Amino acid sequence: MSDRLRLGSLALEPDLDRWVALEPDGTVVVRTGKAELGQGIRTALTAVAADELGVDPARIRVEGPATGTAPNELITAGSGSIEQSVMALRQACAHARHILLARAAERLGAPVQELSVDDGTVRAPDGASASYAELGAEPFDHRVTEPIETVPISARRWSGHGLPRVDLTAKIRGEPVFVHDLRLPGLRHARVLRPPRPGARLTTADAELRDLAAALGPPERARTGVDDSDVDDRGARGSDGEPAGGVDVVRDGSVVAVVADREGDAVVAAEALARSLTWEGGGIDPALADPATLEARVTSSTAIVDGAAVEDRPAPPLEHTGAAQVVRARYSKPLLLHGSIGPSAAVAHLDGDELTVWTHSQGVELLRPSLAEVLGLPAERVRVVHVDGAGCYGHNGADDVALDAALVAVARPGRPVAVQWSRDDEHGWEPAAPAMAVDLEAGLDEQGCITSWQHDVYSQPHGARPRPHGEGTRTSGLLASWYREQPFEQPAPWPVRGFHSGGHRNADPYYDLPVRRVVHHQVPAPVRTSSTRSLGAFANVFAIESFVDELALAAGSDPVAFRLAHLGDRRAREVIEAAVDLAGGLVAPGGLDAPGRGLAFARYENVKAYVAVVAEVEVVARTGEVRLRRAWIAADAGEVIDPDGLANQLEGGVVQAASWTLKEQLELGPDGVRNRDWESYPILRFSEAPLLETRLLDRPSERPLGAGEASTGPTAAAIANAVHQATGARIRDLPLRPDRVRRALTDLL
Amino acid sequence: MGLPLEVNGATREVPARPDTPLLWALRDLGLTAAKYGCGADRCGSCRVLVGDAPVASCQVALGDVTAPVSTLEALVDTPEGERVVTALAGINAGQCAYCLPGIAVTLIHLARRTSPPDEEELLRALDAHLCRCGSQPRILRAARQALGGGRQ
Ligand code: FES
Ligand code: FES
Repeated sequence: MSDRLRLGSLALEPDLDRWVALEPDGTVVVRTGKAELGQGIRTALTAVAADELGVDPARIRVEGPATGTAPNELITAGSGSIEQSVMALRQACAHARHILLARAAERLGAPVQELSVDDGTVRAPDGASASYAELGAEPFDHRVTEPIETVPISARRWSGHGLPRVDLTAKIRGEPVFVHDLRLPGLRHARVLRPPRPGARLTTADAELRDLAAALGPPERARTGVDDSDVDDRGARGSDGEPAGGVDVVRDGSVVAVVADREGDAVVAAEALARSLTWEGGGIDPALADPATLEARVTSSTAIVDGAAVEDRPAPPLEHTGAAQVVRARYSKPLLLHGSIGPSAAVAHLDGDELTVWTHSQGVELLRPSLAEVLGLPAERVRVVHVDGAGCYGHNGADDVALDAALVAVARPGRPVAVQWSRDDEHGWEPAAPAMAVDLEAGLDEQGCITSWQHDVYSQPHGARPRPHGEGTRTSGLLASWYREQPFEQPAPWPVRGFHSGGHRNADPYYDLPVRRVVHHQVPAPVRTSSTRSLGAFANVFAIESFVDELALAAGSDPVAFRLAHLGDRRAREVIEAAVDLAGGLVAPGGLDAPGRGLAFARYENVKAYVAVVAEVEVVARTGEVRLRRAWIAADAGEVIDPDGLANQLEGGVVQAASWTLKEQLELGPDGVRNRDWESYPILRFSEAPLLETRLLDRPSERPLGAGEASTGPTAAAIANAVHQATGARIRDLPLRPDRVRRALTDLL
Repeated sequence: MGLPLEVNGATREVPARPDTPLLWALRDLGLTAAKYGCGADRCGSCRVLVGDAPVASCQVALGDVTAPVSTLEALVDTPEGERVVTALAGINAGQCAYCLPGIAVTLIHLARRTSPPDEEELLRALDAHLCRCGSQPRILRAARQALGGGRQ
């Protein structure tokens, strides 16, 4: 393993004191720039730190991202938490231990080799001892630039051995640990009233808004001291200057918020006020959502080689020279939602000239300057602190609601204010997962081997995360900024040139192919689209792995042998064999009525975890309903730090992707998103959940590989392949909803 | 002046309008185990017991509450609560866990019954809940463990 990989994020942040600190009571504080998103990063970090430092996990407190104190790791995304943060922390703790032992040797008058460590107490052979707390009272004052030796694999007690999730029990017990539950002293609650359509402007006059606001106070509480001169000022105040529990309205152009002391009052008032506001303009073109027409709207095309964009003009289409037959197929997926169960929330507080924002954002270091730009504050006066939120599967509303809270906090300084989006806001305004279509074409020779491969992927943008645009540009990726009195402009989508970035993630197949041409075509989106778990890999792997089954059939081979024959990488072959073995083969018992089974494989980003999935489905011919009964997962993620955490991520990815594959599709109309509740946007329910079995191929001497997003693509293809085995119908457009499946079955007759 | 509300064995004064959903009244009392997810009885994250019945607290107006309310904060320290939490935590049955307090209320309610629910009842009860992290298979396993009934 290279030094760079072993250092992980220490390459960005070498200051050891940023990563590890000892407290007087013996607590070891480890800091990470990676956010707990439900992926269990805190647990993995605790296990690694406990092993390296030689302390009990109970002594360790993991502090999450916060600007100014935690190491800057930019963002928690791309399945990078283990590769970057855990590797860094392992080295940081190794260095810390080294320094602590050197200090102990001096103090105890014994050579380092003769010292032993037991739960943070260092002992010399003569029985003299010193605690980490004493030894670590002084800062380390050390920069980590070279990796040093770490605790040998055989001596690891926690990493690789399944430390239980350190944060889970408190969350299950309902303790107030989410940002939604943060109850700071003096906290007020606000709700922002979003426009009825993207781009609409508020036409309600200030005077009218003032009257509407005045009517909002809860009737049983007297509203005294309303400042009639300006709705932007304190709305309802008691005569002693303290709020009387009334409702206060903040306006900045087309951004309107109601603020109240109690959350219930804010919610009820927001609903009432929303009915009375008037808006004009705005709207979207829903036709842009149709995956069938993406090809006609391409704005630019880029050739992809080894996962990266290389030139502006892609090579001409392949001739498939030497092929005995050429197979073609087109696949697609629609726009999707993240649909976190807890809508986005944030708390903000302008105290003096310091703004603090508590957020479940994936990137506090990007959010800080982005907020500062919109608010016109110097970034040094903005502090952004991560607090756990509901499950995060990519760029959701977290950053946007942070701006909502910050705008209200700045308009109403002195007291912290909490904002949570409604379900309607979340479905209507979070960045959607883009629609994509993939055209595949491959030649097969007489022996049934692939001679040539052509992949054209049409994709709406995957990158709209907020980031600083430079002072005075008045461009911002944050939602509310576009609706202010002095609006900011929505930025153009991020360019997709990086390694496996955006729509071309996993477009390059992992198979050994003599000739390949991969092209990524950018297509505009009808609504804001951005990163969702596995980005383009979901559609690309769905397409590639469905197509590989189609090729195997055309070649007269079986799906396992055909894949193995085209995979030079032994580790790839071994995960496929492991998944098939775990399932007990690709043919379900039960004769003619047996359910269908399907296999799919991918290596995430072609450099991260290897995952193979076997799905077993039952198709109800009369209704077209597809039921995922079971799935078997095999994965090679290199060294396994947290086996159960890894399995949990892989399994969650399978279930979530099964939901995308079988049920989900964002519906758009001229006013934007139409399915704004769970009734119109159904997701997989408990009664539809599959039985799962997982096998991890642990490779303790290999570096750990990111796996959080690796199971989604294989799941979709494994399901589609299983439907084909069960029915003979090949369905290439997602979702595999009953109406579509029934049509496909009818077409077979 | 507010409305009296009997919650977790004590009578509290709730300074809110009677049409305020119970969920917000509870959260304004600092009882944040019940969480907002959808406001439409579709996700189960706001689940509490009113009297003996599991309900979506986002759907009940404060003024319509006529029986004592139990939230997870109190239920968790009962023997059934401990059993449910131990089972869920024991197999890491969750990822973000935002859905779990509501699910725990439903499972505690089931665990209090004299006869364990069969598989169908369990699925029906849990179908009132959504989990976006895809932890359903593990949550079901934990539920069967805690309730002792159904398929293991
Ligand atoms: S918030 Fe009550 S059921 Fe979703
Ligand atoms: S664990 Fe995240 S929603 Fe259930």
